[in-house]
Amino acid sequence: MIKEIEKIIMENGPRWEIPFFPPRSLYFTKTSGSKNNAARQPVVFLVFDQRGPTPRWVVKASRHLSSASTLQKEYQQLLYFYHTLSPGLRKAIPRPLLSREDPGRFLFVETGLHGSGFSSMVRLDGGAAHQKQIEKILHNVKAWLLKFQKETQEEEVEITEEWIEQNIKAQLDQYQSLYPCSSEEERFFNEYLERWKPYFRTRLPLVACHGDFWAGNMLMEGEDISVFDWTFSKRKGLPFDDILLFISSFLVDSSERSEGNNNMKSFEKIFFSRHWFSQQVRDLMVQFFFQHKLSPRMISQIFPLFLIKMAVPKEDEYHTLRNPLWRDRLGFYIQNQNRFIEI
Amino acid sequence: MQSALKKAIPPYKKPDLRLKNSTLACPHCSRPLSREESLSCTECGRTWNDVEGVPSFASSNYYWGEIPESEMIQTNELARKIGWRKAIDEQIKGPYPHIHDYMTDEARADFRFVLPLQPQSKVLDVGAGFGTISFGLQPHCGWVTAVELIAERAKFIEIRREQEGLQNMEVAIANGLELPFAPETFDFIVVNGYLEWVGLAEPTVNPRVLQKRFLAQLHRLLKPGGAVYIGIENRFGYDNFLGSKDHSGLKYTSLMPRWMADLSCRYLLKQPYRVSRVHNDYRTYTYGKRGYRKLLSESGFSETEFFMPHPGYNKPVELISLDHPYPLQHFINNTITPSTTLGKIKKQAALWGTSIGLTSFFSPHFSIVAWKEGRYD
Repeated sequence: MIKEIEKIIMENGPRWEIPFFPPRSLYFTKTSGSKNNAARQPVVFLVFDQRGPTPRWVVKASRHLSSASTLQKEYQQLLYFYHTLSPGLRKAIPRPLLSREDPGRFLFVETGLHGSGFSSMVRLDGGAAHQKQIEKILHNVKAWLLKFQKETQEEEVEITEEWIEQNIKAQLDQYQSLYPCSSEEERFFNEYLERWKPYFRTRLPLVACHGDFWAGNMLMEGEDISVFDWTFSKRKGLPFDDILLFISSFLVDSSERSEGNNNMKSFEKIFFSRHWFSQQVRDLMVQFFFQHKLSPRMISQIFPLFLIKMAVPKEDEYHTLRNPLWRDRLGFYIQNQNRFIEI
Repeated sequence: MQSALKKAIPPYKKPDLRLKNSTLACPHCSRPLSREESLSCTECGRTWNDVEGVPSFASSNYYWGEIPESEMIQTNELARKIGWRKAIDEQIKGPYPHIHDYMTDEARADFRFVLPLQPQSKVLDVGAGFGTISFGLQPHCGWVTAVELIAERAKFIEIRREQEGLQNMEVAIANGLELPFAPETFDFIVVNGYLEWVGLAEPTVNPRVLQKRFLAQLHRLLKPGGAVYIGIENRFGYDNFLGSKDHSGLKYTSLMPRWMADLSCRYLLKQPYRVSRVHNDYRTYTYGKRGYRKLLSESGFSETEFFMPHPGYNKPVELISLDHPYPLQHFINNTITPSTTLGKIKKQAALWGTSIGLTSFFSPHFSIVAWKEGRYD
């Protein structure tokens, strides 16, 4: 496949860059995202040349016919966002360059992004420098996300009985059809639906969503954030899912990313304990809700909805391994809702 | 009249495409083999047996495996009755979960993406194990031949092949130093986790000589422009410095001069490790990047490409080119995100090391693609 990619680049390079300086030689990194279910994910090639350690191009190819449609969707979304966003934000996402459909396979080429990965590990005993660094990350990501959401916001939706029926009740029904619910869960769901009533006539913004907005899909260079992997992006959705996913992906006082127990402990520490990081999260959420002209108290309604959505497998989503973890998190929330961070 | 005709015309038998396309040849004179009563060479008259449908060119009944022989035999018997997938779920998943993943994970053949596989390519998998790599490659090429010395594993591959109805694949039991194929048969040869064990085949011969003989043989079997893919440990991998066990069963032996490793094995090794008997000397040679390049060049390969497989060559989720510092720098920059000061210092040191080739020197594993001279069509 490497030879094929070399050919594509040499043939199409002059259309992508004017003037085009052909690479003296190309070097590759082949990757597949998560190591837990690599065989279900598309193959990604990072293509380097003599210019520097930032990939000049990124090529994504489907492994099977079944995953081709997911990649096609991603390419379409990237095209849409690239042509919708302002030049400032455009720099922060990959530029789609070319797509190619062969029998049984789909591949596309995008530009590489500048920046380095950043740590999503939080040490509660960390000193002032560590706390400041985490605060800077939270601030930069929030600023980027708000800018992205402002630019892609097209309309608002009013919370009505009909909206709850279509958007919340439907999610709950799907959840209940997938997982056997205990009486405690059912009681919670009934109360939860009731608790939406005070928010009737509140207007919620509908914005674009990245869909997999966590530190592993971001690069940072100074204050600038770049975001890649737009596989699960949507043009219209609620603005809270991305920020809540980002916060949930932090690992608190944990060394191993892969262990489910650590994930649960981190979840508990972020949202159900009191320390400097939960204070930072609280401040971030308050600012985020205010920016969208909403009451921060709404988090008590938004957060369970987010957990329910994450626990329900979506169509075309190949990392369904995560769903049971989110179900456990929802269970934990239901049992400990009194301890949930107060805003 | 009709009954007479019925007797005269033999019932229709679906042709076995494996016989038609088989790549097997006499290991001595390289002539095609006939399969009338038993497997035999029409030229030199030698014969070989089938072991439960798998042609066997190996003389010994050697067994080694993470799964004890009796359990492997049971698994094969069960696989014949209830299907290979259910059998390994029942027999292997509980007691050996990592072996179960090893047997089923399609991503183990992910190195295929760095090879120019074509729908008509012929691939040989030497030391195929449970055939996971062969089955991973099979949908993407014309023909796959899996060679495995351990009969029980070869039988497992054959059972799975038969149950999946694959007609572009064959299995053989053979020793890696006497492969039963004619020269210039294959487009690609896969040697994943095998080269380091080649030295155990003949205890009286220097392991490096055996490895060279083995690689020279692979070079002969490749078509011009073909390539061999090797997945193997680095002699100087950083994990060896941290005390991870070498193939000998002892720590640090790969880092020692060979004579010292020989002495260590002779005096310190009491029990066989991953082999059937204790050897008196160190025989599982691994090398550094330069060492592999030299070994391959001496075996006839004209060009070599090095990748660092991550997390390891048995599951190359990421393959990072080591032919230039930039891909490794990018990997370190984006994958290693320390939150402590010490971690940050280590990361900076690793980044600095990439520019002078030091970091790739300590890569724990290598994925090597070595090309035979010629034009690949």
